[in-house]
Amino acid sequence: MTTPALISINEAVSRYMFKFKLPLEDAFIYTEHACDALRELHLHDLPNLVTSKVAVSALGIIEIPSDLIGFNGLYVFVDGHKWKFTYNDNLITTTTTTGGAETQDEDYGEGVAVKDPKTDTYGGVGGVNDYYYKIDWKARRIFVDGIASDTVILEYVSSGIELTGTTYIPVMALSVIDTYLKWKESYWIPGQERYAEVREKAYNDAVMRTRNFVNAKTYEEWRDLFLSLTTMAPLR
Amino acid sequence: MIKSEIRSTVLNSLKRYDSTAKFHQRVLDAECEFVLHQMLGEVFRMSPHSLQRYTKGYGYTVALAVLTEASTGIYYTTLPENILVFLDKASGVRRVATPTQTSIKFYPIDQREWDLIAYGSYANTVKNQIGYIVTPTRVEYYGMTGEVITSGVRMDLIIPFSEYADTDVVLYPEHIIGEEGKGFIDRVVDRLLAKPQTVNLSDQNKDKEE
Repeated sequence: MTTPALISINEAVSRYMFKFKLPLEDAFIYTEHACDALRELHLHDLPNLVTSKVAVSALGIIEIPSDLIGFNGLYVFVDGHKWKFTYNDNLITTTTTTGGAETQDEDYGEGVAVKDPKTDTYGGVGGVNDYYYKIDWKARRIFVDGIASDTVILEYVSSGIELTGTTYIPVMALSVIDTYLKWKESYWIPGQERYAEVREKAYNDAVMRTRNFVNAKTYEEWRDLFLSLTTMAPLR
Repeated sequence: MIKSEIRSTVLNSLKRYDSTAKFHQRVLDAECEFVLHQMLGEVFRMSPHSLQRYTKGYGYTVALAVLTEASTGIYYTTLPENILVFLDKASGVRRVATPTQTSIKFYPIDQREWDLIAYGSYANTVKNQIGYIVTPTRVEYYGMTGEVITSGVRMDLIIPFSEYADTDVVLYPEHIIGEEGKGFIDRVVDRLLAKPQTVNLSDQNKDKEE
């Protein structure tokens, strides 16, 4: 049995303060910075996506979860696999209020199903999809085409910081948290400004190491990749 | 050294004007208190972590109660003794903990941080981390949990000389030597020598304590 792969953010901060002999009175400041570092990791480096089943309303609208920072993909379920929606910038994202209720007015193209021109001759438009989406970031809504009053899968990036439970950090990213805290000390502890550049480099190095680890493929993955590109033939 | 021994040592180090000269115990204690605070301040300036060596524990046998102030909703524990004040946020309350060791940790904060943490910080969402603010009469808590309210807390305090019982061991930083090479007892005696006792020759200080 060895040490766990996930530790709470409190433990990460405690370890840092212990290692660098820091006063407890700054624990909350370090915690705040550690949360910032974790959010950045989730946004840019870690593959920790949130996969969530979300409801599509009768108008074909998905309300974006409050913790969504970055959108990754929208999918329907097809034969045990997920089928990806295609981004369509031309979807109509307005609605019409009638008698106090939100509706869609076909006269303005609202809620009208997309009709892809399809051809089997030369000069065709290429691939089409049965499912499209467009995000209205201002209203934090996703308008979809091809499905309504149903449930789909939404993959997205969150801050990773839990509001109700314990926030965990993968220990592989602990050096990123440590170097981030040390770097930020340069800005809030008087007299340490001159170390900012060196510490930022140490942080970037730690980020790159973590990113390499996250994105590195195993031998089996490479083998599967190569095999998937070849065509089997009978050996005579 | 226990408190009464310290007092006795100081008393016997003082120059007496005659064999019947007497000293107020409270005067001795007051000077001891001043010098002790001064020397602990020197320890603080050298290494705030070292102050933990001079604390007295409270709530170790019976936990100190966590109470709620009805008008403000603030959770607090009344200080079991007066404390000495130091410049950091923990002041004379060097440590707060749950009666048994748990993952819940207490960290000193101040009112300014309390206000900033409470509105829109990530730190506000992190569990098992309780902030404590030291005021002159009580310790207030931020992020208090039901578990700790039930269990109570224990504290390590740095208290003034006057708050020790005569039989209590008073830990003073004897390793701190001033510019003149003087430690705790020497400094107390020096201060008393500078304030010679008034001798009432008509009644041999009969109204004075020894």
